[in-house]
Amino acid sequence: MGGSFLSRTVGVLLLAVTIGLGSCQALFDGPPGPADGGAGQPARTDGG
Amino acid sequence: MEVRYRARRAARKVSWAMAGLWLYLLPLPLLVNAVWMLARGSIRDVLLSVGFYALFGLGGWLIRRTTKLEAKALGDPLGRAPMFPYRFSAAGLSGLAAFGTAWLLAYHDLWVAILFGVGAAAGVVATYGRDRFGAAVSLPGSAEDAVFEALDRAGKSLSELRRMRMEVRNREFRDRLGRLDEWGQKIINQIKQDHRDLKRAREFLNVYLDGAITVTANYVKTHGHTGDQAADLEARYAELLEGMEREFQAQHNRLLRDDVLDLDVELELLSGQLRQKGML
Repeated sequence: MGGSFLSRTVGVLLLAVTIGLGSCQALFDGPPGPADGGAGQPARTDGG
Repeated sequence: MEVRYRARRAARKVSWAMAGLWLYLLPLPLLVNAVWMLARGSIRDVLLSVGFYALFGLGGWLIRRTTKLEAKALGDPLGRAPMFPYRFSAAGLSGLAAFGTAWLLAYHDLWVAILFGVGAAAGVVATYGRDRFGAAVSLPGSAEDAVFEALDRAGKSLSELRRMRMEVRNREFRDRLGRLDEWGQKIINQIKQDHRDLKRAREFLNVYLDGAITVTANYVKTHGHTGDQAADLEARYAELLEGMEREFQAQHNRLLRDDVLDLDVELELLSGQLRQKGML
């Protein structure tokens, strides 16, 4: 499995940031519902 | 040396057990999100969350699959890594799922979402390595490992023989089995002292120890149920045990003398003998 200890550590950190953080953001920053006064989907960060 | 082997084997077992686990654990919030979105009535988000989790999970499964195949190849002297790009596929699927999660569920802008995808794919490659496409699989110290694998196997066979000995009521047979055990142990000790002896003794240990276990198991199973044939069975078993005891002793002496020329002939002779006597 995997390469050196350093490469595995960097890899796990990358996975934690991209997959872990991404999924948590999906959970906590998801679309606001009608109860929140939103239209169902927030504006993107680039305004698009 | 043996301690190092045990430590390496334990480390490999842990590493195989852990393979692909991050890809199951890290996206778990997506499943929570799916339940949450179901409660809020957003079918789109439920489907996307479950779908992306499934993609991550599929990636994890691919990593586990290739790790298992490579572990199997390690036990084979001609073993090769799988030809299918399991790890790259897992990286691709994880990248796609991370991109989708960031773009469609966390509502990042396109370039940030692409960064998430590329980062996840790179993370999979950095963590689990690259595919080796049919390359010969070997571990550092694998020759040393092979010695201890063989010794392990022989040790287990001897334990099995000792266990069976307890089921044999005939005193003479028990004594003979006890002596087989002693000679087997001496051969194992000889190999421990000089690993080069393994090459010469491995096949002997496999054929003779397995042979002794098989005939003893057959004897224990059929003894007492054979009626008139009991005497005949005992006579054949006694003859085989006597022959084996002689061979164990001779093999030990051969190892001491570094004489292997007649080993193959002996092995063929034994196999033929066992078959002929209906004990195999």
